Amino acid sequence: MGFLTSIFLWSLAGLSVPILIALWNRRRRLQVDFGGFYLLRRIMEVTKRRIQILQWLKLLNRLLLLSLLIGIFAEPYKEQSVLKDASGGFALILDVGRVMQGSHPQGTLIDEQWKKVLEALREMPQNAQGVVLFVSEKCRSLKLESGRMTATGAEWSKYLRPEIFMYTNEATTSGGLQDCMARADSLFDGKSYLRVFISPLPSTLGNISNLGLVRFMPLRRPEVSFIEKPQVQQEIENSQVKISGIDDRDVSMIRPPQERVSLGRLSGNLDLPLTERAWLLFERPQDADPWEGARLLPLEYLDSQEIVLWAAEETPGYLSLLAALRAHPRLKVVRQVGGSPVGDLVIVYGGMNQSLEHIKRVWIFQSPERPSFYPIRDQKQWTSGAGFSDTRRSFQLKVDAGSIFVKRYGLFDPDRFETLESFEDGAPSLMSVLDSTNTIWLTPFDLEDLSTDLSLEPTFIPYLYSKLEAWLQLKDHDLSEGFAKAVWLMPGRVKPDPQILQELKWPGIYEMGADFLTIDPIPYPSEYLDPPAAVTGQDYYVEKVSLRDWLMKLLVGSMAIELILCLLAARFGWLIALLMTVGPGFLLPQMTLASTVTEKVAVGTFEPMNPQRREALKQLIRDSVFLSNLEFQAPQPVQISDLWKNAVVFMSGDQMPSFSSSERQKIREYLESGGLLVFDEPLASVGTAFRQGVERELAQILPGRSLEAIPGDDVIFRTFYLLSEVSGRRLTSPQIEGIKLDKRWVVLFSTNDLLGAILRSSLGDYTLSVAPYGVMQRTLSQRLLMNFLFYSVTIDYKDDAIHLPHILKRRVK
Amino acid sequence: MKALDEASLVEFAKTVELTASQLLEGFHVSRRGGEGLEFHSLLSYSPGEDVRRIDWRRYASSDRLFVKKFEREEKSNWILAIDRSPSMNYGAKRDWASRWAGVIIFLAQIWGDRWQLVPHWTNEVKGAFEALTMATDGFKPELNPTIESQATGRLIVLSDFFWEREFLEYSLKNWQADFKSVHCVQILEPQEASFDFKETIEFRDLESSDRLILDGQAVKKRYLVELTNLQRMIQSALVEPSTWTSVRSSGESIELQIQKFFEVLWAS
Repeated sequence: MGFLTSIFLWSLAGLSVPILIALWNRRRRLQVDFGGFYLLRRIMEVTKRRIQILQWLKLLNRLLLLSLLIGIFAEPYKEQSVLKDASGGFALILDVGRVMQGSHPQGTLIDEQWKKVLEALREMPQNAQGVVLFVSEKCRSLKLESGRMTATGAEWSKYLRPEIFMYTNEATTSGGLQDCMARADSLFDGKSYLRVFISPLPSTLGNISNLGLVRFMPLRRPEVSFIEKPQVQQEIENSQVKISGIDDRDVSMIRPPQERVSLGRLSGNLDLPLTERAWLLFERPQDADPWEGARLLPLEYLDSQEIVLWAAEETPGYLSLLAALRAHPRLKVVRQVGGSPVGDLVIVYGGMNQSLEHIKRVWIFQSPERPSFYPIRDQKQWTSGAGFSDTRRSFQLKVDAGSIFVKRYGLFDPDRFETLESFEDGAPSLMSVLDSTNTIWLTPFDLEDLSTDLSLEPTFIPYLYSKLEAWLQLKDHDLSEGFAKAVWLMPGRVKPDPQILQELKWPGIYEMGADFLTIDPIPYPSEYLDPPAAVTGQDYYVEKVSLRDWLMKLLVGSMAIELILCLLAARFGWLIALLMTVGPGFLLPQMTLASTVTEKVAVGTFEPMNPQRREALKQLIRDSVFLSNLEFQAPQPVQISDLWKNAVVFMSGDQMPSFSSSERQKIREYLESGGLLVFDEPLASVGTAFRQGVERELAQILPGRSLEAIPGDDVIFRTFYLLSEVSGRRLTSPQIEGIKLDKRWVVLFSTNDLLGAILRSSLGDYTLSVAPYGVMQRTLSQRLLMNFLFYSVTIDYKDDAIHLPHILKRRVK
Repeated sequence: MKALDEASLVEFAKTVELTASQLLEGFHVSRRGGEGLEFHSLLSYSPGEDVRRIDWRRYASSDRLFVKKFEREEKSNWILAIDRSPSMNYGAKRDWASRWAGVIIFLAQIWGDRWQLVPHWTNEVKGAFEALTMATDGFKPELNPTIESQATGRLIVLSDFFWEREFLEYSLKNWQADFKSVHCVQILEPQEASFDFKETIEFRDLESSDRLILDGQAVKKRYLVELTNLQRMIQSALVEPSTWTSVRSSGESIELQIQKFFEVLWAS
């Protein structure tokens, strides 16, 4: 450690001041001859000690306070070795596949991975921004609480903890790894960055030497130890399950609701009555690996394996679905066309107008062909049923005979599946009916589960199986959010977040309200890859890290302690001290927030702004933090009287609001004073109500002026990114339009739904499809929107001649 | 021993006489009231008189309230013991105790009661007042003295009772065995009773060279608890007809204090 301004260390002589004050105070103390001294003597010992301690604490704290002040001026630093290759950024790719379920006698792989993560983050340069990606079969990115995907190593260290790692029961594959690297590449956008991969390198990764990863941090390989599956046989006979081959273990039976019956130590055969749903739990022997121990055997039962697939008429889609379901090894699917559905479990294909009450459980595949449904804009839509607000939820009907569990899934019609060839990422466009009151368009199932692969078999059928199996397992249990609570986990050291458990199925036994749910472990691989022989990216350089911020925090703490120590001697001192300690906890975040907000450029929106477009705008602004030093505030709805506070105001919705004449006057003043209005057509169509509304209002606000095409060489195409074309979700118009005042664009209008092209779901996947060119449209849309943001604060700055050589150079490229 | 200051003696005597005469006006009934009394006559009831003395039988027959008046059967024998330990030198406690003793002696003299001032055992008012003025009377508890027993005597102890617990319990027990009744009057300075010290103070003992540096605010609660415990201990050790009174050496009227003392005493 050293000091950047060591001259200030001379100030340490000032430490004598508090000592002198303490001595002076000692001399000035009031002396009293007191008659009740006898009583004081009885209580003196403890109090005397307390006073002395307080005095000493005061003195020490003042010395500390002064030292910290001097330290802050002297600015100490520590030297830290950091990875040279990470100067431009880093991507931390963590293996969260099932291989991580392995454990050693010394601990779990999760523990070891956590240590390596901290080690890797410590080696990152302090200003380098990086992302954290989780890899298994798929790649998942992690966001900070603020919604940002990128942060420095220190910020990640503060935020990360093993509980939020998205450990899954899937195998880790090179496909997932490539996906992660592609994501990282797109995030860093061609900049040089360091990739760090932390994994036990399971054999399922295949050949990774060609993937171009820069730094491996292999975890210790667990000893090859398959999860011991119960090697018992089950047979149903005369309403009994006959179980054979039990190998001298303590056995319990778990049966909903919340019943666990110990069957004692068993060996050989066991006969059990058929029940709705139950598991045999084979207790692990003493001293056994916990991973191997808790073995669960779902007991066979009869009634839930038969499903009726019903349709009013036979269509190719129906037959396709029937064939797919019948290929399932465990399901028995009964074909039924026309009439009333007969059976406990029924999948209704194509909709049905009959009563469902006599059916125990129903799953409905709605068909977009039904005449009563919403208008279908094109056949590239996946549709859901009308009339209920969330098709992914289940509901229960209470009838005399009991309760009926209806699980409504509006799935797409496989008849139409072959027409989806232009889908880029499996997401339909849902824009046209977003504000409709009686129709909610929802993707029929989790879209992220579907890849861009357009064939039915590899994507839909396994998905369908998994859903059906889950459905059958759950039976009468409501699948509401947050239902699963871990009872225990295997290997059980680190407890993942319940939400992650629910989504990603970490093996274990889970309690669902009063019931149990088990997720069986999958064996981790028996083979592991050798770590690459040549590990590159180990070049370090020494970075001086200032400790001033750290000292500042200590200084604030020391000042608070001083205040508290002074208050302790006062009347109600304890109470005030308590308030002083707790109060800042409530006040500081707001104060910090206030100060943060004031430093950012304000961005507003007109109401009624489409909520998804507002979210897209938020995401854009969040990402802009990573791209530039200029920080924009999250978009907020604006009052006309507060327009002046915003550098730019966005509007994207179905309709344009009608303003009063005074409001139009204020908008005009705003535009004349330097403001910017950006309109984005959410339907990406011409002649819409929104467009007409905008034109109507603009004609009133800026009489005599109308929207005109912005030339391709305008500064707006180079305020931040150098662009040569417009983009959007649909390329309806080849140009951006605008209105110019005093050589400055005050209104911008995009017909192509720029915000829709960049809208992403909470998991980071794009929500809406783009056409016709695909991903590139998204990138260009984001860049154009960034240019709009920067145009609002820089205007024609990039027109300065000083930028010309660089721009020309880029253009040539 | 310091010489007698005649001016102080006269001043003291005047104060005592004035206090006693004011008290006697309030004692127009009590003069003849008290324990071991003989019925004397009936007088009309006037508000403020002790309702316990109302003759309810007469009220039932006449529909008028009468009060029974009594004649004292025998004279009292007052033994006055003033605590002269150094803690009584705090504030005005010593002078207050002297005034208390002076007034009681004066009253006893008027009532024709016998009285004695420990340790002089004199029955001369002047001598007693001299002793009270010069503070040569009294006893020092730390020297563990004994007060000569008198089975018919009423012992009045004027002290702060900041004594060692064991000695205090022992003394109270012995006195109650040796005397007809024991009447403890605790005299405290207001600061001793309320402990209103707000800052860190070096407290010095009046009886030794001990010093304590304490935060007055922090100690107050526990000090008051200790004081209350002490008072409760004395009260619980006293058995009727013995009585307990706690008074302040300033801020209160000594006449009222003594009047209340006698009312409690006679009621017991």
